[in-house]
Amino acid sequence: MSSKVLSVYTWLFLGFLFAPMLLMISGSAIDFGRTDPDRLFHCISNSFIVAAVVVPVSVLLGLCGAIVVTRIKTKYQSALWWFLMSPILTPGIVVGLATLIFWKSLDVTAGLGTIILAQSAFIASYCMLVFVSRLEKFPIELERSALSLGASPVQTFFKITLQFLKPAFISASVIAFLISFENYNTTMFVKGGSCTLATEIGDMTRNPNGYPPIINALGTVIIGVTLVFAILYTLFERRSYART
Amino acid sequence: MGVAFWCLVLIAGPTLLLLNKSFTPPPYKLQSAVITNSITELDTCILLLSIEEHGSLQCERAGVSTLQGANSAKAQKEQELLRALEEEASGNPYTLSNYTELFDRNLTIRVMATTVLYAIAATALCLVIAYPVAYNMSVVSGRTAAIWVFTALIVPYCTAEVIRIYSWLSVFDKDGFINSILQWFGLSPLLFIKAPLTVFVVIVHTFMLFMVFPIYNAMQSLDKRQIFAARGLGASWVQTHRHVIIPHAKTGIAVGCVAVFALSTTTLSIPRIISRGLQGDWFSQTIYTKFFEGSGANTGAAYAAVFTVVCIGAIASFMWATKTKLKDFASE
Repeated sequence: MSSKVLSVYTWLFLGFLFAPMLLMISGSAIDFGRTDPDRLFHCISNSFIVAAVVVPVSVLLGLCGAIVVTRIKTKYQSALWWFLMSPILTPGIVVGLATLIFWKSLDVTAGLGTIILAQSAFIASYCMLVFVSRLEKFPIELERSALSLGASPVQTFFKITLQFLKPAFISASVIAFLISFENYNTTMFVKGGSCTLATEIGDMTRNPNGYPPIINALGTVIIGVTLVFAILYTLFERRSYART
Repeated sequence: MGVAFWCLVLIAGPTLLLLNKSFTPPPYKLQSAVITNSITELDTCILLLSIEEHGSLQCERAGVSTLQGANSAKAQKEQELLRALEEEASGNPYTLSNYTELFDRNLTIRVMATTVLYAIAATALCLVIAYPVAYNMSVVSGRTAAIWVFTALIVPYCTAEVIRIYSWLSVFDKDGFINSILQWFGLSPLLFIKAPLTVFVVIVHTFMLFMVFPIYNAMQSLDKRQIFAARGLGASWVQTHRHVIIPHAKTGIAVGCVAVFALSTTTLSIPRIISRGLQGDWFSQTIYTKFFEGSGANTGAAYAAVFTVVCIGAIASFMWATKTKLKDFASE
């Protein structure tokens, strides 16, 4: 298979991926008229608040789940997997719906709290995936030798296992943050009257009479920030690869 | 070890929260439709009796004799209200009526089936488009090029999904890019957002990475010398792909397909934002409108339960057919 053809194809593919966003960026040079910056700012800060709570909660829960799944082998292993993965497999809307119904029956009003609860439920499963894939590469002999050398299980856990998992912590946190920040399906169901950036953008664009170009500007900023981070990360990767 | 076990409870918490409690509401209906109807009729009858002396059809239908007048109607109404309260308090008004309503209405079933079919088509299209890219990145290109392409792929997906969907609006909308070009040529603008194909294209675009990534990961571990060996032994490219590369990447392909399918069936953002509700073929929208707009909260929940079963059933049967295990998702 000619690698030229493949290269052209890949370029076309990347073009298809980026085209709409480039169009959007080009539209952000228009002035922003009828926007309500206060509400938008409020929604953006909501997004950050929610993410700030969801990330630690999900990472911790994911860590626990991963440890249980990799360490404790029972007959019910596969059932356990399905159970812990079920928040990812069930549709996001159903996750939101069920959370809303549950907490409403306990008289908790829908709002940021329910958003946090609903998001943690399924983001924890994603974090668990990250930790499991890292834990599988963990040489179990390290733990055993630490235990046989006299360390308590707690010490072993904190000094050895956790240290090994440090990169997984970072990726799990980043993934959790991204998923929480942009989540639309689930959040739409549990938000009640509150808003996050994602739902606000969604609602703004639903207005058939046109929508404020501030969304274009927002999108450009987000893309720009992501681009910067991605380039930095790639350069860092290349350097560490070159060093090995 | 004990710590981990205790933590499992914490995880089970939110998950149980979802699974168990989502079953409570769907069958639960507060008042049967019959009682509600009869109370409404009695109300009308009482109102009419207060305006004019004799009753009318309403009172006859409600079973009130007009000779007895308004008092009798009121008494009957109180009886009905008591009956309704009894039904509520009896504590077990679980009915399947929400579920049977789903099957009674052909439209709902049609929408659900259409959504699933579109999702399958989107998954197939994603697979066809993503496979060459993954192949290029993992086997053909050099390491540097692969890293840059990788980054170029991740960037769109780190930006929020809604931003990407919104950017498609600037292409497809009434005053969007394509329509502007059409108008420049003097043609009238097309209402793209009403067509299911528009949502379909956006879905394929939005979830493409979830297909590329697992296939790429799976292909990474393929020993390239196997490809050379196959070619050296005289296999054509088609044969090489069929017998060497695809079997190795099978796990990745399966994981990718499951991920894209799950995302496409249950996406709410794309139909809602792109079509603004004009395009009715997406079941997630049906659930949303049923639940929030109007009093059909219980039916909405029933719809959601059925939909979940359908989705998970489809995913499970696909995973069984391709012999994938849930563990493989971890290597994403």
